[in-house]
Amino acid sequence: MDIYEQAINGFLGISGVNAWEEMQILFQRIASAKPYHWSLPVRACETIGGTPEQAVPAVIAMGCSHISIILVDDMLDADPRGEYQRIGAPAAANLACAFQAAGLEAIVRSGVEPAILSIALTSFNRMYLMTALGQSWDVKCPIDETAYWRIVQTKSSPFFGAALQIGALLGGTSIETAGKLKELGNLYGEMIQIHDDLSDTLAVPANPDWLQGRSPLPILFAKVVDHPERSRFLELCGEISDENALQEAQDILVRCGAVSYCMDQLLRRYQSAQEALQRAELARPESIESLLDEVIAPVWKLFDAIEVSPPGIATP
Amino acid sequence: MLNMQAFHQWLSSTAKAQNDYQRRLRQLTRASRIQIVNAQGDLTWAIWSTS
Repeated sequence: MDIYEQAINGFLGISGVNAWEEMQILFQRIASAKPYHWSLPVRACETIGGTPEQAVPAVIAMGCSHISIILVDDMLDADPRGEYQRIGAPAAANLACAFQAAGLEAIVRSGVEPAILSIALTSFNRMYLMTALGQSWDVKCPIDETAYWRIVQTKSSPFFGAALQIGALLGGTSIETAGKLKELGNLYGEMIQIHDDLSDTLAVPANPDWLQGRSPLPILFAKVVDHPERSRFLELCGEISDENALQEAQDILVRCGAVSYCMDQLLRRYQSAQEALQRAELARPESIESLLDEVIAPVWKLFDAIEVSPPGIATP
Repeated sequence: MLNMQAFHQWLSSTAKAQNDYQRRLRQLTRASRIQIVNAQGDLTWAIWSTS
């Protein structure tokens, strides 16, 4: 039985969930797709010398928080694919509350000692509060770089930090080591957000971010930086549903350095994460090393595609 | 870490003292959208969506 099947079994055993068919169906449907992020607690548990089974309650908790966050996020973004379109916004909001509580319950049922349990629950709860705060800021559309990074550090990275911290705590590591894994998870989460922004920005047809006037990282760069094509880029943003305008705007993103900036930000976080990994002195660092290798791989692939060897980091 | 504006000035600098890191990032400004999209293509596992 793989970790997702174990998570489904554990989830179905939570009191309240076992009487709520919609929750069961939604959790099973999403778990069956084996979302990668749900397995992060297992990586953390393994890296400190624990077993995957010890991480199962954390997998359930992160799965519940993932579903809950997306249920709300889809409503905030008016995403036409959202579950709320099918069941209605009030029911979706209620389900989101239920998944948040079920995540806490999964951690409570893990059976770890009270002191560790308290830290794990606090981590999960703070993650949720920070994410909600970040969502609230995000819907106001950040217009400068400081606001952008503040949102990334609230809306995006806490989930990944908590996933590694709670997985490690349930595996029996020290509070200090779990805290170091949380820092690594935060950096990893920031890298995921940069990748998401880049992919959304370069998608064809225009991603809703373009159409709704939002500013993921590359678009923000092209809007605020004083580069030669800035005026033209701002003009194009007003007609972005036109296919030619989108293509021209995307080409400007590359030429003006917005993509280079994203790569620079990814490389710097990768380097910071490597240094943090060295300092953490983990029993099996390869579990986290491979995680970092996977998230930086697209950068190496891009440099390879343009026939340039990947750079080492240098301080400009 | 440089902010966006400072990064752009640094990337655009043509001073002889430019380093290898800068040169390589500058070469990315000549990449095509398809090259970037293809490189990002391996990241399907990173998608947040549950749909």
